[in-house]
Amino acid sequence: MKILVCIKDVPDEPAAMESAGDGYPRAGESMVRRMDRLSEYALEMALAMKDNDPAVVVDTVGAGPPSVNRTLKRSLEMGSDRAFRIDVTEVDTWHPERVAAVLGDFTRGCGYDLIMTGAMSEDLMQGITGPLLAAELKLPTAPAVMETVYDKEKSNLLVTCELEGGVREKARMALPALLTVQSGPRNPRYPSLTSKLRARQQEVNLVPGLKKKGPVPPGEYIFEKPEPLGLVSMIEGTPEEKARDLIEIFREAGVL
Amino acid sequence: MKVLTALMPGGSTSANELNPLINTALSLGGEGAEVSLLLCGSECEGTAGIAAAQGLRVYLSESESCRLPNSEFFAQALVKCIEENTPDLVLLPRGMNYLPGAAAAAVSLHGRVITEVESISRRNDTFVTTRSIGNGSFMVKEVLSGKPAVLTLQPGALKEGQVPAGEAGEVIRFDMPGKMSLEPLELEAEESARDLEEADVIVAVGRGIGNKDNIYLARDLVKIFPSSALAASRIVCDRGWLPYRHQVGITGKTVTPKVYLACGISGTSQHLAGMKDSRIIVAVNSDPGAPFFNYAHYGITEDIITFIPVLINEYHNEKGRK
Repeated sequence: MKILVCIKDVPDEPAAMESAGDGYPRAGESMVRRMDRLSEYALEMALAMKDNDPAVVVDTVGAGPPSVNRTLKRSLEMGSDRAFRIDVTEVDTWHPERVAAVLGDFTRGCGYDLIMTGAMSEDLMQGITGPLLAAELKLPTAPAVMETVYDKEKSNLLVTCELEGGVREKARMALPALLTVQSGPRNPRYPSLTSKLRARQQEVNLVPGLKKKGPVPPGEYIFEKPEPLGLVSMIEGTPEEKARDLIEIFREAGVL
Repeated sequence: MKVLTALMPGGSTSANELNPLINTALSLGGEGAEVSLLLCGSECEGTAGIAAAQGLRVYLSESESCRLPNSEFFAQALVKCIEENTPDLVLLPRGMNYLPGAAAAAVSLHGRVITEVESISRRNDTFVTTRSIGNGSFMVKEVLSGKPAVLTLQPGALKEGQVPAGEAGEVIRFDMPGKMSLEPLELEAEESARDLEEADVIVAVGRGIGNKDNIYLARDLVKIFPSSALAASRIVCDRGWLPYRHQVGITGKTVTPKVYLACGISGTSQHLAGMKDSRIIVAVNSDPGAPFFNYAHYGITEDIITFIPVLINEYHNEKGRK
């Protein structure tokens, strides 16, 4: 089985973005970038399948400027076989249609049985790049997958998807398919020393940039700092005084 | 303007779920809007009849394979509806299960797709959507370019109230190909999370609770309120400290209690999306820079591990004095 995991590179603190000259919020250049948390879970899910069956091949791909290489290198350290970076600008990565279009161009004809993405990125929080890629490639999608069991003989997957409110749905799906991966009880692995040494010998493969700009020009964007709910009243004093003030607030609200 | 909205009920759909979607579609569509509804599930005929009586054209696709939510079936049915209806705007509820449909609809329409929309308003002949990014550090307002658009809407973007009476619409049944790649097998609901929906007070715990052994502190605090429930941020559920049915946020429950007491939760927008309409929000966190303080009415800078016992103790002391 051939698996492709789409990796998102995000600023270490997505909440610390500030307005940049071109109007798009950015993390400062000094901020470390890292693999998106749900991308890590997606990669872990793929690597666990490889642990069970060494014949499984796991590739990773990311779209963005050269700074994304560091995160893709990390994917090699975690155990992926090959890593690819599609050369697009940081602004291009803001638009899920564009990212899905370049990922689709890259993926088409490569014969992947399974494609995985994170269910939702920490910075842009749209959750749509994976489903758009599936729609581009006309693949079935299972959203917010927390667990998978691969039936090699039948070439299908048993997936557990998270619906809202703690409800889970078990489903069987035929391959090829795309999964968007949700976090779950299995934590992403830390790279072993052996993996790190192996990754040192590997390069991130560069894929030429955008063949097309995506199907839709973006609309007009306005980025604003949100208004806080209201000026928070900080309750001061000793812990006991704070507790008594809080109890008074509960009483005034009629909940005690 | 043509507006298409759609629901994927697992069984029957109540007016509580349906009316806000229809109201929003009617409101955004404006005078003379042609509003249609796709219902994709099983046992939806009654709901379809109610919606048709409200003046909508209802596309109804029922199948045994939709007895459980089936995102692939829904996506294909939605595309089929779009091919017939060519809407200017497609409105879907929020939810991971709707995203494959939203994406397929956008590709079919060659249109924009915007998810987790928190508010939407009309501007001349187009619309302006608002959503959060970067854990709530920025709001993105997007002026739609006039192309068709597919939106998934958070509850706050939906218009509540009764649907105004209209001329009777029609129900159009259609079948989908029987064989799908995705075959839902069963639903696992841990147990009802209704207590979260009905509680006056929700005590929610985050990473600051430290470990599973400290959850008893929050359970003890919950007990001092006559109507209360225990909630958690996603990380607490991921770590197995509480079951997922307690989770509040984008992928969990949306709640609106009288009091939401956030204990040791940093305040990611994923979490805030699920509780921001609570009447009174109190944040307790040892980090004075925690984002939750920007969205709370009252804030206390304390370590919850030491503060919760003090709070419970003071409550009992006061009760003893009365």
